[in-house]
Amino acid sequence: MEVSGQDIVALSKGPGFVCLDAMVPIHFNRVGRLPLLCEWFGPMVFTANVIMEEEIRGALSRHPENQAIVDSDWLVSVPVDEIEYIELVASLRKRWGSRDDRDRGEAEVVALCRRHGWTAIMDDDVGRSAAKEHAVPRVYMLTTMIAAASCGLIAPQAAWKLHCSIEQTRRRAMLTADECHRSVFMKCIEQFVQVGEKMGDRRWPYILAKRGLDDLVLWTRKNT
Amino acid sequence: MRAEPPYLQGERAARALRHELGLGFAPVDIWEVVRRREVFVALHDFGETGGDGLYVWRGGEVAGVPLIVVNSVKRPSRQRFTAAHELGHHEMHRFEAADVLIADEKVGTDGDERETAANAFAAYLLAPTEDLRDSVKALGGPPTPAGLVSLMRRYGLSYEALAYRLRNAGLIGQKALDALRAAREGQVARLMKRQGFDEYSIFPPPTEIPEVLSREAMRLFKDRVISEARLAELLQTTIDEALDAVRDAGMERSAEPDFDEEAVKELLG
Repeated sequence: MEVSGQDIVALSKGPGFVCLDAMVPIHFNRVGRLPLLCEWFGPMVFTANVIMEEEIRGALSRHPENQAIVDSDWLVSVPVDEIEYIELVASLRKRWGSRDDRDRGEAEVVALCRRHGWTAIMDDDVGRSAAKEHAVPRVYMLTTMIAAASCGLIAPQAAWKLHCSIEQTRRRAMLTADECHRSVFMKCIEQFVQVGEKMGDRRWPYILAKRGLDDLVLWTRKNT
Repeated sequence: MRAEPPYLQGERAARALRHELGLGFAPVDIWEVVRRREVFVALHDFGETGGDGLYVWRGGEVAGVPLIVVNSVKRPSRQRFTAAHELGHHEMHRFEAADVLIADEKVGTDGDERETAANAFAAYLLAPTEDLRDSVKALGGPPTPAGLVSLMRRYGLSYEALAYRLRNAGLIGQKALDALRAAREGQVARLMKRQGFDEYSIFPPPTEIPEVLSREAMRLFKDRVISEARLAELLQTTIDEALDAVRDAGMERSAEPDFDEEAVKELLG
């Protein structure tokens, strides 16, 4: 579903919504778990227009499985169409030295989250660094799975299995799919439960906007 | 349709593997064959009375790396046969369950159908009938104990295993097998010495770490799953040399991402 810039104004703002970098739907879809994103974040999950058009629809000939993402009407692609944020995207890409369309998705996700107060789910280092600079809440895909398990949206073992399935082909997260990281993963869920308890009833998905969740995963890995 | 007998299944699988790897019918370096199949091999001292080896594979959605463990105390010919036998399990039986663990107390002894097939696989892989037939012909007469020892040098099989292999390949009869088996251990050892055949030097067990194993160890190190010390242990070298190898392979760790201790403290209250 594509919506215009004007429609966006009518949409809810703030940390009750997330905006996905391309890798999130792509990897969830690759392991056959795309609908989980709707279950966790629906009825509306946002991504940048450029991600949907260039990285997902534009890659259909090489990745026909992306059709499932294109067909997901809960995944709303949003354009960056206000001058202030178009400039932000341009300045980020200029600083990164991006050529052609590279890194546009990350830059637009940062701009959209900045504009609407959403939380970015993003693993890309440069994108995350820009998000930090612009005070945009951001979490890793791994952190999202841990948080979902801590809020009871998915069983811990199922979350670990999901993480492993994704990491098998990806190998980029802070925790690998190796058995020795299972205990770290489970420990993180326990830590997140503690964090969530302090938040009361408004836990999900607001927990993702909490400062330091990714740091807590790194800290737990170091100390487990 | 009648099911194919297990020994034929084993031979067929070994023939298919030889074909796939372009090995023809010549004798093979079994450790190289296993390496080419991307199966890990570990040698472990299970003791003289311990089992010969085992095969482990964790399948399912999160597939692991297939692993063969061979008892390092056994003679090289036994180790070779065990490796080939376990490779047979890998080729034929790894999809029987999500997780496969087959422990072999004594390879070469037919138990259930699976073991018979794995034995036939190993026997054919190490000594294909086609090559064996030519070798027996070259002996110039019925195989004697001295002739059998010369064949041991070619195929890297034990005296006993080779005698049975000749019989199972239909190249000798039961009487000839009994006659060959009547040779005492001491006689075989003397014949080996006379022919200058030291199986430890001709068929040394693998000492090099298989590339697939060292690569995986370095990957684990890079992903911070294991420490420098553990990496060195896995690569059977010093920490400095292990780190050199990591550098050469371009597998250095990236800088540890910073984490904000203040934010963590705040979260954990």
